[in-house]
Amino acid sequence: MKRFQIQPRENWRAKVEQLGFTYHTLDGVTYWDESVYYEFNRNEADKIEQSTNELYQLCLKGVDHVIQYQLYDRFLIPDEFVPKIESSWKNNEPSVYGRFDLAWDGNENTSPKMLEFNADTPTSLFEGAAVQWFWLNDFNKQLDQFNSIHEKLIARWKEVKLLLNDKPLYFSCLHQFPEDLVNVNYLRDCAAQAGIETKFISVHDIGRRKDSFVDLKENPIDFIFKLYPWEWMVNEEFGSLLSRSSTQWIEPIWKMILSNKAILPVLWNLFPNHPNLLECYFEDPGPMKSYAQKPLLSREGANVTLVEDEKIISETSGEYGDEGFVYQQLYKLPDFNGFRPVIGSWIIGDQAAGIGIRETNSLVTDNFSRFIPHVIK
Amino acid sequence: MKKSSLVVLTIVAALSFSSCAVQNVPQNLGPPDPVYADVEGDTTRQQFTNVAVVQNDYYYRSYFFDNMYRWFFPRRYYGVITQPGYVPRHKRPIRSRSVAVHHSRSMPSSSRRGGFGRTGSLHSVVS
Repeated sequence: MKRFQIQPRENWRAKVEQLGFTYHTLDGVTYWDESVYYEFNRNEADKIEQSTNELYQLCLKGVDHVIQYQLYDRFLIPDEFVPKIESSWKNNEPSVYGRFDLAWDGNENTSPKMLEFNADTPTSLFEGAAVQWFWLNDFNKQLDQFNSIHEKLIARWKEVKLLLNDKPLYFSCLHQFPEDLVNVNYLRDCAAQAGIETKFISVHDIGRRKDSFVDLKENPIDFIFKLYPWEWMVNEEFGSLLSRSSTQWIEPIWKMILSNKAILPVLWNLFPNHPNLLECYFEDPGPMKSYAQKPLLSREGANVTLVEDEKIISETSGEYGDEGFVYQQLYKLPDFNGFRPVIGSWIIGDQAAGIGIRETNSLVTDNFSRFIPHVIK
Repeated sequence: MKKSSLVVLTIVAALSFSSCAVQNVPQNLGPPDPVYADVEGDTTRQQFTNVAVVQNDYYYRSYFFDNMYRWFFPRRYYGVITQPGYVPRHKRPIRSRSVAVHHSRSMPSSSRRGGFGRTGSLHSVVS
């Protein structure tokens, strides 16, 4: 794994905007950064792929364990949603995607370590699937990329289509946020390519009629993909209807278990010393003197505290933490001349599908990170 | 006691019970309607106001204890749950001690819409 600096394409803004990538610059700061790229060799890409597949299987076993032993309190899941989660899991309600955040420097003697799993509302999908692919075509067509996200998404939607009984699939997010909207529109486009009839409805516009969720024309919503976290939905006004309505949601409600950082100590407990896992505990750091304290439900690296030899070395702000923390072994992101990449490894259906790299100058990947394309040589 | 007297007593008792405060209570059950801000301009992720939550513990997650309060302290119970801004404990946000009222362009006026999306203006979905 190497990092190279290059000249960005002359008209790179226009090029990515042509693709519909409107948030390449956020608050005046570059988010899509093609003045740099990372290079992997085949073996490294294979190792990431194998690790991702392995981790997803561990996660599924973790969900099974949580349900079997009713560990819902650990995940702050309200009692009223437990039957819905269990039926969702037992009925194999389909998951479409998820993104593991991995720390690894390409060293063949080590394995990628799972920092967390964005299982419910992962973003950066569009830039990972499409924008960096088109960049590669301009940069060097002879090179490859670990990226079959687009193809696997269409294949996954074709599987989902079999469950829809020819009913439309709604897509929903907070439409006023470009990043959310672009990601959802991209997923919707893939679903349409898979032959699914799709409709869009903003999260705010979802209505209720008796025990059903309805669209703006009062038509029942039978199937809906949402880019909106489960832990927010269950705490909002319509949350009480979730357990009664027959609407099927994608991602399914059993993903509440995997999108919560409480899954990390559960996995460590089930699979101690697994090469892709980091030591992790509830409530306190246990025997660890160097660890990351992470809120159960935080996003974008908020409220994370890094402790090394019992001294705080990094701390991020935010509004999370009241819900409790997990304590994960400190594993610093690799350092490439002061730049620290985290590998976002996508799982589509149940297959590893590609990666997208976000880079920061700090130890915690936050909302100021930059998306960096990659190649396989 | 004659059978007819027993029937009359039962009816009287039933009527008395149904007219007392405790039995009228179910009409008021449940949390007050959510507070939505008036329709305003474009939303930003940071644009919100905090409304202090009424701090009390009368509304329990357990329906049994909740009913105990409702039956034995009906005035206190209803006094509490009808205060403006009161949110039942099981409906309070997990991560915050405050209720967020966000300003959304798309919030429809119908009470049957807008039941999802409030938290989204406080915290980015991006992850």
